[in-house]
Amino acid sequence: MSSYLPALIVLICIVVGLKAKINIYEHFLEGAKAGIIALWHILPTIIGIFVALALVRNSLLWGYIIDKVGLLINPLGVSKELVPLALMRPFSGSASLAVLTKLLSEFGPDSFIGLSASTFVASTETVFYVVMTYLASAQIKKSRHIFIVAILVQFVVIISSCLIWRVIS
Amino acid sequence: MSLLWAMMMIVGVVSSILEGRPERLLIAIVDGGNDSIQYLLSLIGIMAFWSGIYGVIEKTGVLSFLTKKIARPIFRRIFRKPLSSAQEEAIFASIAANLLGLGNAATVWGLKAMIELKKGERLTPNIATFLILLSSGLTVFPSTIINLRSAMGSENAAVIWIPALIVSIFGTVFALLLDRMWGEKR
Repeated sequence: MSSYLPALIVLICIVVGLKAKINIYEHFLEGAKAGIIALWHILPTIIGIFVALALVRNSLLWGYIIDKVGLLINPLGVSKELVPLALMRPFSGSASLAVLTKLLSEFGPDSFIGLSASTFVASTETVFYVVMTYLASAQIKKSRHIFIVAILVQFVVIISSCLIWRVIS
Repeated sequence: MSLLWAMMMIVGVVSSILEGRPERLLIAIVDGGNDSIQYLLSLIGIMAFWSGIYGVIEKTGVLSFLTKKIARPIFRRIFRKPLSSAQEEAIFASIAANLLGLGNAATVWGLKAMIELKKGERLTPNIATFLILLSSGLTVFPSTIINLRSAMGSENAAVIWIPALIVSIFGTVFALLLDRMWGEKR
């Protein structure tokens, strides 16, 4: 169903544009140019994040942090198998999908771990990535309370993703 | 923001030195650099197209109509400072695209909203609220995850839909409450 949406949006946009007798193609080109410029502005941020991520992800220290966080979060009803997923989720969408795929194949998509992991990924965003690129696009340096809120929210969401499946099953 | 990046780099570099494999930094630079350029290339055409479509929608009046009808009453409650119509429209478009699962269009329109909201290099309360709302993970239908689950052999792939809806609404409300609490203080 969701694959019909883009088609519908484009169709409506063009039909309404023709009816309103505006120069559609002209406006399309203007908008496209603005999009390319915006992307150009976030490129340095993307490189910065991707390199830092590639560096951290393969380090032993990262594995150590995962273990420690696991001990901390286990009493709250979160299985320790979910910790790598929870830590990866804020940084990279593709990496967290890869971790989710691994969890689903290892424990089964309909197991407790599979269900809570799916719920968690479905109800969260790649926060750091989104906030960093958006702030960089507007050349804003200070992030104030945004990251603390984002971390707390993901923390609450991973706990409630597990909790809700304990309640249901 | 720079603190976060510095922490990641320090963890990575210190760890690679302690492991006796300092060359890992160079590998990360090559890998990360390649990944980001590949990502950019895969995005550039899509970005340009959707932001072109946004350019048209903006001019047709459809967006301002929908914004007035649907978004304005909600935004008035969520955002602390008054928004101009152009800001409201851009925020509405990006959040709607997000909720409809149009990931790439959502990014483009979100960056557009940032341009509208921007006032110098300062993080305004409205920008903070917008980013917190956007990153809180509100979802209507998590099609990517459901597709992945059925590809992995789930008997009932969509069973996570309602729980994910509940959890994500809860997360978003929690995020907006925290924003209210901490955004006000400074």
